[in-house]
Amino acid sequence: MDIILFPPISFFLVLTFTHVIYKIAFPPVQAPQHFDKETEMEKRAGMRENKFFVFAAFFALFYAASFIVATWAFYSSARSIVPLVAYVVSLTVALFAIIMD
Amino acid sequence: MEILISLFYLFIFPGFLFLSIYGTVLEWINKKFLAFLHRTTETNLRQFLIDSARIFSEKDIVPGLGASYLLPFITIASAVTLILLVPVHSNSALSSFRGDLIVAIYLLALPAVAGFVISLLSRHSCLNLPERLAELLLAEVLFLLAVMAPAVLAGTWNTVEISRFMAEHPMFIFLEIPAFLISLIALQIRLEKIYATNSPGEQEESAAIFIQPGSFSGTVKISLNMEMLASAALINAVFLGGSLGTGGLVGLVLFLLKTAMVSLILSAVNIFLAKAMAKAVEPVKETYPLASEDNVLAPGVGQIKTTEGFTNKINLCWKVLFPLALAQIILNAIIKWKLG
Repeated sequence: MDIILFPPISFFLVLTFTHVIYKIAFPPVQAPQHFDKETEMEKRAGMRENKFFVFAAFFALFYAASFIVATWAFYSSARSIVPLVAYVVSLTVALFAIIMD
Repeated sequence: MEILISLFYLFIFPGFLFLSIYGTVLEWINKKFLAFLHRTTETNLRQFLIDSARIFSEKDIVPGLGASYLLPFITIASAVTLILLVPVHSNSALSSFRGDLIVAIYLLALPAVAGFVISLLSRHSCLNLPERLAELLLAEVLFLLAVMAPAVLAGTWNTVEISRFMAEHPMFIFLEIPAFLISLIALQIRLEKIYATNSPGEQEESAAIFIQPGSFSGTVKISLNMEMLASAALINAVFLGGSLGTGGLVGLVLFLLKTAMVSLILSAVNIFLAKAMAKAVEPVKETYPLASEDNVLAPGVGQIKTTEGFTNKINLCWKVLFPLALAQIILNAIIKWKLG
């Protein structure tokens, strides 16, 4: 199988390509100020729901990891750990980009 | 040279360009279908494509997007990666390996999960996160169960092998109709969840981002169209036998027709779900789920779902669809055992 068409590589390539093209073609615009207001209800809900974040983040990562492990369990011919590392790296890059944005 | 061919697959056909253009055409077909149902008029395809492209010429005047900015790109990347795993115009896929169906399911779920995590990271905290997570899980479990049915019958987790099996045994296509419909309902719930929002502040912000014409709303629209088309391609391969053993131009025409049919059924499912929730959720919009200027992206955007509406959906899924999907798997397992 061609390395470019390998799922983690193609995912990363398309993500990077579309992101870069969009940034070049449509530069970001400054946000209007009135959208930064946060209601009192949202603040209260935020305090309550922040505890939920840890679980949600765990769920998302566990979900991804379980699918990867399951796939490699089925895909017995994949003896090398390189594809798994590629998958984890692309996932980490995506999560890093989300958090740092 | 090989690299160039691979890049062609990735970015031209059946990748980015094909998905974005045909996805937009499918959106128009769905609009036509809804216009026919509602007895209203709809613009012609040429005008629709011009209008869709014109959105990108409008300047974005939207609030700070934060991490939500990445969501359409994650959706596009998932859709393009997914289409590589699915047979398009022949009975083979560009990237095929044992267990690739699991990767395909994961790729389908990725945008909705990413949307959920991004929503958590946004400055507007969500008011009903547990409900949203429950709906995500619900769609996930239902979709997995539905897709598991033909996989059990074919005895493989490989998309191409399942597709070939269904093409070789066309009578099983009719047997899988319940699982096919369940997968479409689960898919519809999942598509709604990608850009769904929960808190009032986030709704106000989302409305500004998604409805107002601009390059970002255009990208969001294209990403949803692409995700819908890639999902339809997977469902076509798993439940409808893909190209039915044909190839070349005939296979491509079959693919176009069958994905259009899946897309229309998906639209009908959306109307069904909206009607099913109508008593609990007000106002309900009987519209195509994908983005448009006159249509809020998803039923979740612009309205807060009531607990009653959420309970209705849970009841429909757990009390009706879940046992039905299990029954389908058991039936398929028995047939598989009888066939040997």
